[in-house]
Amino acid sequence: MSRIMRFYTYGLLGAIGGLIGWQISNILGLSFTDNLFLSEVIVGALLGGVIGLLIGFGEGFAAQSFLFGLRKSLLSALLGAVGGAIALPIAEGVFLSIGGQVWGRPIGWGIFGLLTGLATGITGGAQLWKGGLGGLIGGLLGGVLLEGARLMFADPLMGKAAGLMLLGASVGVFIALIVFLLSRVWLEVTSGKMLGMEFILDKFLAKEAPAAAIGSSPLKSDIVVADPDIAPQHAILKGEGTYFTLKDISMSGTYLDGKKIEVSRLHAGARIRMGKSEMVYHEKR
Amino acid sequence: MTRIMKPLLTVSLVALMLLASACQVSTPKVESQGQYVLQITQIDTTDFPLVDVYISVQDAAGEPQVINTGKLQLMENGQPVSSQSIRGSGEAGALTTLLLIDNSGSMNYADKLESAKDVAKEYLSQMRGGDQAGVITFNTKVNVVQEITSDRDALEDAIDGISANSDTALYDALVKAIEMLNPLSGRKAIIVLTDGMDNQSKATADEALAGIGFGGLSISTIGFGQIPAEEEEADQYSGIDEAALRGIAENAGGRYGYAENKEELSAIYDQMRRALQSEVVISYVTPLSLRDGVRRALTVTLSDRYSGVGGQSQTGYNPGGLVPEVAQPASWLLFGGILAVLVVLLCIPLVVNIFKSKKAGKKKKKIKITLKD
Repeated sequence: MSRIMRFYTYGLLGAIGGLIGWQISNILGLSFTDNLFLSEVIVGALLGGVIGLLIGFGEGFAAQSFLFGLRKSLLSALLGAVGGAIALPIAEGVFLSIGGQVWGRPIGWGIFGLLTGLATGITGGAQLWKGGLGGLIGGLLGGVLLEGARLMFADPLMGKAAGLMLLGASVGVFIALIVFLLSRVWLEVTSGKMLGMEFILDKFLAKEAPAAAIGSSPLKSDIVVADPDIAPQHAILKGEGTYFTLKDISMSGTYLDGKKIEVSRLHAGARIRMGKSEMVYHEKR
Repeated sequence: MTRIMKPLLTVSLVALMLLASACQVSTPKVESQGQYVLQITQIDTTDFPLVDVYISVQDAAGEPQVINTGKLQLMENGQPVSSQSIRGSGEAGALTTLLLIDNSGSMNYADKLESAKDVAKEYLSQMRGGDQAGVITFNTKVNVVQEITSDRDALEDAIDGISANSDTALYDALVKAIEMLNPLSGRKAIIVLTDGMDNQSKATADEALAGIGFGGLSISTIGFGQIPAEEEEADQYSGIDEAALRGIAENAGGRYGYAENKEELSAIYDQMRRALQSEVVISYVTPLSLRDGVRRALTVTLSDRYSGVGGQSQTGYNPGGLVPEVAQPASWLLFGGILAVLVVLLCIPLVVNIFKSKKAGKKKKKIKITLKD
């Protein structure tokens, strides 16, 4: 899956999340408890959860593995729900305290997007704040759109739909985009049906960071390459601060630039082969 | 990547700054016209869509007036509301007052603190059954001298114990007072007495006002002592900042008064108390019952052809609803339709990919053969 495709998929998944959240929020309203802010905790959790669920599934889409997607999406749904539950009451408070005027809505939504994006971003391969920035930009855009639609069409229902879908879509796209723009080390799959797929390795690079398992099992590996000739856990990628070492733990072997290896330091442009799949290691300094 | 990131970051920064400058605080502002001065002092939307609007009627000199409530008309977004109840003068229910008293060092001069304490006790002695009050002092620190209570003796004892020193943190005291009043119901008023300007607060006046909850409340301000002479720059540590005090009162449904001595101070407190106790409450269920995050304008008018008095006041409220409430959920057909479109869009590349890879697979095999050769 190429970069463009990843933005596309993440954006659409986010939009679907926003759409589902829209209908849930339409049904619930805000008056189902006596306290507005309590209602917003619940609505925020549902909105954040459903957007997180769908965006988390993007990872599964990219890896073409349902189980991997499910694992990622359940985690990001949970985090999205927590983020949303905290974010919406805060955002509402800010919206009201700046007078509830036209400009208040994008700012309130921006705060909501920021926190849900932060939460959703935790599951990605990059640092936390990148998802947060994605969410912030998405929230600001969604809020502008919602207010614009309300002023133009006098139909809050459709404005809200457009706003929430855009919020979800831009959280998705920006999480993908920012992660890619700011990533420094990644693996690119250069063969097979996952051709073009990229795995961001930034968060594994630090010396104290956990090692990343490469393999075919969506449950046991962090980097999942669907290939029947790859072991469930095939090799271990360990960050050493400024570079990675790759350690083979398979029966069939791991090849670096055509040579079978046990443990080896990776250099930029290194070609890694496992089973029938080939990957290239990229660095950007 | 820096080439792409720099403009991206710049654009987002500029956008944020534009947003920040565009969102200036705007709390309900009161404008009045006519012979009588009508003032909407508090809008209580705790039980939204039930809205309670407290209205104070005064003459031009600030004397509270009793009026024929039948001549009052309240309009929301230009539409007359059908009131559930109008409770006239003296029937507006219990009143909770928080007295905020400046006890910075300068209050020691000219017995200002003693006067303030005496006048505060006078105010409290006029509490009606069911009324409650509390006392907060502020210098560098904000000190809750007496929690809100209906026990008059406890209140008087608390006031007797107040002494003065150090600087003034008025806005912090407002933040604390608003925090204390927000959970209570009914008519809530803060009366602030100060002899100086704020020079110690962490909060700003706008931040303090932003903390007012759905129940609403009013803030009246009293400047006590010397006003700095016209040509003099107001000193950071002395003199009343009339503009700031007036601004707070105008933005929070209250009034501003200035007293130079104890007699004037006593008269102002008395007038404020009578005004609070003679307010009219109009309760109505708004037809705009959805929390859509849109501000509603409230206008109250008084017209009495026979006596020829009239007045008008405008303000507004926002019921909240960042993610707006809608009248009914979208039809499932519409929802399903949009969902289907998105799912189809999501699947297009997958289908195209499968199609492509079938073609590419054939080509690749050929390439592989040539490579092996």
